[in-house]
Amino acid sequence: MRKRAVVPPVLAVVIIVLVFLIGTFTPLISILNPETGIIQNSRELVIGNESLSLPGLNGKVVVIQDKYGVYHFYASSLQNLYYALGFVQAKERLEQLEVFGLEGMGQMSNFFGSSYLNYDRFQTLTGAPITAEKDWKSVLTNASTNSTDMLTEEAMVSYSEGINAYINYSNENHVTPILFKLLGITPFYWNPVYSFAVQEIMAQQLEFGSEGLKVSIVHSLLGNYTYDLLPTFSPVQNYYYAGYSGAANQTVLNMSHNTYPINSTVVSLANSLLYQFRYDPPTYFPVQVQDHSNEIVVAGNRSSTGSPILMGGPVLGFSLPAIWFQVQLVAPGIDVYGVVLPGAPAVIIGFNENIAWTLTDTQAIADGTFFFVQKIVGQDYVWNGTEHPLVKYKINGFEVNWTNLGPVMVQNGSTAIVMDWMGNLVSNEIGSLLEINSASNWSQFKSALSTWKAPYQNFAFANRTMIADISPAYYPIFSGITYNPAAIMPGDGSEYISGSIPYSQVPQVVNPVQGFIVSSNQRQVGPSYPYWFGMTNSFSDGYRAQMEVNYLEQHPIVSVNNIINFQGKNYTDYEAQAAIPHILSYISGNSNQSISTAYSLLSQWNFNMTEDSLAASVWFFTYINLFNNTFLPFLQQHGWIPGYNDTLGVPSAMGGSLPNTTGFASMDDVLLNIIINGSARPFSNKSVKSLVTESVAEAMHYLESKYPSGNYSWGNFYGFLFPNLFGLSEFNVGPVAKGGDFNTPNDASGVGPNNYPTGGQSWEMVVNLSNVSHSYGVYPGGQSENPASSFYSNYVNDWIDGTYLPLLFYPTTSSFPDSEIISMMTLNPGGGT
Amino acid sequence: MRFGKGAGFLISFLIIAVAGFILLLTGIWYAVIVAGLIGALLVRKGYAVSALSSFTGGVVSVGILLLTLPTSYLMPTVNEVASISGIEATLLLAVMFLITGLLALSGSLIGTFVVSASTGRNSGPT
Repeated sequence: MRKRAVVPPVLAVVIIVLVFLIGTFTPLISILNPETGIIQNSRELVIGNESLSLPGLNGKVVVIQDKYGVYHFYASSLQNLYYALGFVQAKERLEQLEVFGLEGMGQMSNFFGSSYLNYDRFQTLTGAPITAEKDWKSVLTNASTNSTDMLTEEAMVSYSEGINAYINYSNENHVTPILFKLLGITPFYWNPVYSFAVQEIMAQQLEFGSEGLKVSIVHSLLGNYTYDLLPTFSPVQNYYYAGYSGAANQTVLNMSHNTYPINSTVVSLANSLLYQFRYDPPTYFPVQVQDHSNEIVVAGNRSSTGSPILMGGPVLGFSLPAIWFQVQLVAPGIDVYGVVLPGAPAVIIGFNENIAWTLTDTQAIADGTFFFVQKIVGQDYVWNGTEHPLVKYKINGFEVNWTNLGPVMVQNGSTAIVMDWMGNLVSNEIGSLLEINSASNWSQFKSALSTWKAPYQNFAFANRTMIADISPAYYPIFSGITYNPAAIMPGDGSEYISGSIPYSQVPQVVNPVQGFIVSSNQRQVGPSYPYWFGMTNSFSDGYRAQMEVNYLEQHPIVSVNNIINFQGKNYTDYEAQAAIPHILSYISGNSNQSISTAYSLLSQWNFNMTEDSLAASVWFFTYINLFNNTFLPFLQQHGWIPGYNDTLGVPSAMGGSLPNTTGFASMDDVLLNIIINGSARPFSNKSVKSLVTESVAEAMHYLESKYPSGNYSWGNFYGFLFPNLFGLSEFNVGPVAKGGDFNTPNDASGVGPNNYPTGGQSWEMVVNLSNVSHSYGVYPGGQSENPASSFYSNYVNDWIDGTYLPLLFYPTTSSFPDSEIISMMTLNPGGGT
Repeated sequence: MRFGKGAGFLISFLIIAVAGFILLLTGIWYAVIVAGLIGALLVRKGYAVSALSSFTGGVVSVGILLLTLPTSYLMPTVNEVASISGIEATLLLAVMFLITGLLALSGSLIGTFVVSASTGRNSGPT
């Protein structure tokens, strides 16, 4: 055979080998392969009925997807129910689940590279991965004697099996998410420890603060002025849902005003740790915002239906996919509707046939994060003059040392700052939520929450005849020499946590006489509460809550629609309402043309931050400037600015609404008090009239320069951005204009164009207790994490418009109308698909 | 089979396109090689006809496969890959067509070689 003759077959073999090799080692070619790539992923998106046989399932589960995209699970047992939930959640949110688990366990760099090492190190240092392991061990140990732990074990194991069944299914059918395929990542198998890591992440998102470090540094700069800037009690708040609005408890006040003095070494350590808090924690999921939420319950005698109405609006960072996954879970003993988190098989906020509930953050007691200066000698820590060995953990490749108080966060020689974070208490909050899901009355509900430790949450409750609210948690009681717990405390044993506020004494109320409860992150209990419950800078400033209270007081009878419109579209800024009359009096008669224009606009304004309002822009920028003019020169004078710009941050008004600034709720409280009472001391020697006039002039100059035509309506500055969770900006949605500001129920700090809010009411729900089947809700996102899916961001426009979707609640598959169904999946026990 | 090169090309192209599509339904990309092989074994018209018909037949086979998928699902998925990888969606599809064509071409080259070896004729590019 001539040499030329063998060229074609050799060429053929070379082509085949090359395609094979490139396809094996290059994800991009592999993804073009019809067997393993985009064609399979496209087929997975097709919506239609299907039937699958899954190993590990021991009974049939029918999963209906309703026309809004919500999944309804009908199972013959709890095990099958949670298995199916895991399977379907993984089908729609596998990337999110896995990232959530990795982040919680501090293992991001294992999958996504060394650029996440700082995240992993910090996460490991906080103790979250260690606590997640301990939580699960505790559940296993106690499951034979504790019914909540038994239920948790059953749910967690089945849920994990369901997730893993989907991972196997996706591997076998080549439908692993595109992002994983392109990154060459094989999904890891889920286990219940990851679910507890999710619990830890939520505790971190909601109750994990650096206030103790900040207050100590501020105190080292400002001395006793600290208590003027960050008072214990708000000078303007007057609604406390759980009462105690009498005179201030002097013991509590004395504690707050007794900040432990720290030396320069500790200041430096605190500053270094603050830097880590600010820049090292995972920001991957979800995007952090000021977590301000709304919850309202209205009693039956104030509702048009004659039964209570419950409104839930947890404010969290926005992302696509959203943090929530909307489901109905039905099995013997349970029929619950609401939203679940990726990784946790319990409905967090929702309702069942008998009760409804929602959550907001208490933001109490320094966010449950306490710092102590402790002496370390070699491998020992010192407590009450005695040396004890450090407990050493080697986890995720990092070594973490723990004293009796918690992890050693930073150390210089023998001086260390140790963190005692309530999120590190071994607990089973997922178990409490699982119990709540099937609770049928207040007694069961309250009992399920009796073991709740962290995150600190307000739980609003309603059934057909009553309303209630309770804020259960492990709230420490401090003993010994009681320095301010909102700052760094001595860790030598002279001050210590001696227990917690008894459950019967935690903030709570049942059927209040006014016929409603509002708990929107404002301080829950007034100044006469006998326990130290935190300073103003950890709570919300309370303006949203006050606006909500005002609304309910002005509307003796409300309907479900009233509450929906109020939550979704009411943009009344209470702070503006309280401040504008005074601002008008300060600028009245001013001859400056711009100030006259401002006067005219503000005097005719209804305090609504609507998109088309000019006055809203004038108010916002006036207030922002007034905040800066009042506080910033004072902070400069004392070395906060610029010395601590990177750690304490540069404060700005309304939760840090300006780009690259930080919010201090207490300063908003203090500023409103200054406007109302007419004295800016000790922060400024200028008269308030002078400060206000100057601020209005600056605001008008800014607005008129930016919009010479005069069209500086609020919609030019405010709108919501929904960022893709994985940083793929092509799949962001927005910014989309919507009314509101930091003081309205929308509630997210930020102003465009470079700082659009990326957070807000992450799930808006209004439950009609006269007939829970006539309830409504929406979250800004979609059920699928896949940008190619029609359910990726389909709820965003509804959320923007304030259109709430019916929450379809049918007890059986046969009662579900065909017209409401877009697909039905039947999961059968079996070995293959 | 006895027919001219033009008809040979057409028949070979049709065989490869149809066989390629059917084989691709198995989900195995490399099965297109078999389509090229079949075409070359059935239509013995030398390397030029075989190469051209197999490449175009392979390209068309994957095209038909893509047509069986609703574009409302396929294109968003391709766009997703394009966005993440930073490569144009059209270029991605072009690479998919190209590789499928090359795989069919490989099969046909092997097939034509087998034919020439078994008949002892020179099937070179005439």
